[in-house]
Amino acid sequence: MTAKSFAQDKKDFEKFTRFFVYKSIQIIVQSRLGEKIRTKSKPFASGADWFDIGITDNNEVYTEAKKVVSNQPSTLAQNICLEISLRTAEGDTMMLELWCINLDTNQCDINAQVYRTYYNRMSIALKSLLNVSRVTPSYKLSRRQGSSEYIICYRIYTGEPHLYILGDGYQKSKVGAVPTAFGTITINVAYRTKLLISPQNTTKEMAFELKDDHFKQDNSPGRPTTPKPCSYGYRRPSTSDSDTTGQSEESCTTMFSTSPLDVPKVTGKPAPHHQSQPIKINVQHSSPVIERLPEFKTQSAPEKSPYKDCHRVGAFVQHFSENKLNESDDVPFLSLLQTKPDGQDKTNGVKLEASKGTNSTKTESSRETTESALSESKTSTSSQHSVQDDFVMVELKTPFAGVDGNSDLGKFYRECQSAPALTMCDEEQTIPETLEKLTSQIDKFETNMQDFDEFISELNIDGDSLPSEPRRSKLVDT
Amino acid sequence: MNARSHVFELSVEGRQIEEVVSTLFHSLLLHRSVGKFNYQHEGSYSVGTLGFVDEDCDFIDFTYVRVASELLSSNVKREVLTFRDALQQSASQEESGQISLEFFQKKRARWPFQPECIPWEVWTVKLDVITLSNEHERQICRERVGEMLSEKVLYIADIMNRHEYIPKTPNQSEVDLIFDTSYNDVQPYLHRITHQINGPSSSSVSTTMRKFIKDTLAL
Repeated sequence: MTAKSFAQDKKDFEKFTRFFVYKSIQIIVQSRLGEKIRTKSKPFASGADWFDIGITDNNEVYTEAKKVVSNQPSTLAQNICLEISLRTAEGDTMMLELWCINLDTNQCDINAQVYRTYYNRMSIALKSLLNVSRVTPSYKLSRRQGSSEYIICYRIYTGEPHLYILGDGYQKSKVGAVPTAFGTITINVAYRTKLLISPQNTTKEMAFELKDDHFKQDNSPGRPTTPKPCSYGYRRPSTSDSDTTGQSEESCTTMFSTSPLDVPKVTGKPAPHHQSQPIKINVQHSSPVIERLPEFKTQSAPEKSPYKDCHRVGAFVQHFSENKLNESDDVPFLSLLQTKPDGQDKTNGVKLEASKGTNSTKTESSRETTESALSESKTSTSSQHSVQDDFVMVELKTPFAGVDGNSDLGKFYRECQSAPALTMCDEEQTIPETLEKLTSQIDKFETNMQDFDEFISELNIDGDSLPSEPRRSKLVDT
Repeated sequence: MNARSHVFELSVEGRQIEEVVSTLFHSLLLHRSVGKFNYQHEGSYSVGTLGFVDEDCDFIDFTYVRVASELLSSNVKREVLTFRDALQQSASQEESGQISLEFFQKKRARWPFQPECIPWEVWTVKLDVITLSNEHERQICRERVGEMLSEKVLYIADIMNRHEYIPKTPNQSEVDLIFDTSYNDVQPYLHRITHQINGPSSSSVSTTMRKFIKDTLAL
């Protein structure tokens, strides 16, 4: 094989693989829409009918898939995982199954001719996927879904599949395999077998992801890929067979030559999961899915996107811009930490007055500079300030700031974040000593019992007198 | 040439026969059908699109996918119904029978002989028909057969993705030797469906010998 033809073959392979992944995702997600699907056989294929199968593309699913695939240097540089989950009306989520497409570059079929052989094998794998997607337990669940009880959601991500989410006793099956000269593409499915919802196997949304992000940034699915309802987008106009939105430049080729094919050789069984090279996922670029069912918003665990979407402003709460939310993301309750002591406010008061005179006339521009300055110093305005008082922070005289403001502020955060050590923990005591101390304390309390009783009786007197007041006022009202 | 052979064995109720066989055969035919070939000129061709249809079963908790071709579907149905009727008309209460889907290719023979049929893959479904006494048992059977069909479909997917021998794509002049070109919309590999009914004591020497001779002659 010459270098040129090898490069061409590689290019073809990459192109086929990309569309193979797109069509696989379409088949799986569309099978979870809760309705029967029927496409027509056509003697003459259109440009969108990749792999000779009439799979109508759903625009939303295509966009989601494209976002994930385009973040990779090559289509299957990392595994592509598709999660199917169930979300109840109460907001509980249960992962039902996990489809995983991966490429094992160690298992190559060097006799497989590129183009028609790959194409045929991919076609067969997709047909298997069509069949198998109807036999897992979640297919039956998806057919019975309704917005009043539960809905089926999907999420696409790259990296290692998180099989532990499927609970104990999950089943794994190989769905399809495409041996090529560049490696073997396999589709695997793992599905939950215990489908009863109980507090043990349900999760409030995002609980896992926060944990994953904490331990393994690279392979985490990325926060923004919130599960999307399968049926949500499908009710919108989807692409028809002739519609090749986003694929027009790469419509499939249906012309082939009849030159004899090699007899396909069976390669060894591919490993169920390929350890892909650790290529960093650009988490920021992974698709932020904002669309959510409104009735579930309040049920989800605290996360920034729901609040962003809701635009709910609580009483006495300052309106936060999106930038500020992002900046303060890693420090919990940042606004509380930044509440200035009264004394500090007074000391800054003079400067505040002075700066008011100069800055009050400036409006938007000054606010922008304020915000950029704030982002550099990693501070944000106190929640007690009104919007008009934003420019107070122009001075950047943060509370407790010394010469090197940044380091002092950092120290201050750290002190506030970690709870101070209890004084009782300082002195180490043995158990007998502690017991002795306790007995002495009890003795002391017993001797003072008289005082305590008196104190309580005083309280009782006060308590008796207190409720009478509202009663009186009630009488006045009537 | 040795044909690959796969056998499924299931115990089903009489009313489930049609759906069980249809599920398995349509799952197989989906893999073994391609879009219609349109030869442009010698050596090159375009391929049509294979549509698909979800079919729900009435007597089993199951949905299968079939090729979207009414003619292909009715041809399969005709064969399956013949098998079902033969199985149910048997006098005995505990009948069993088998139905086979055989893929073959033709080899031209010298005139005046007919082309030789060479099977390359045979799928056989052996069914034991059981009679259930109450609705509770029927419900259990309905679920159990659904689960067994799931296993069989996964098995079919596993076999199909081994990419073992299938006939080469032929030139226009030889396409009839590999594919069934009688359909307007799809193009399955050449296939035929045969069935055989066995009574409870089917393993007699005469039956076995008759079957052996018959099979030999058929090849």
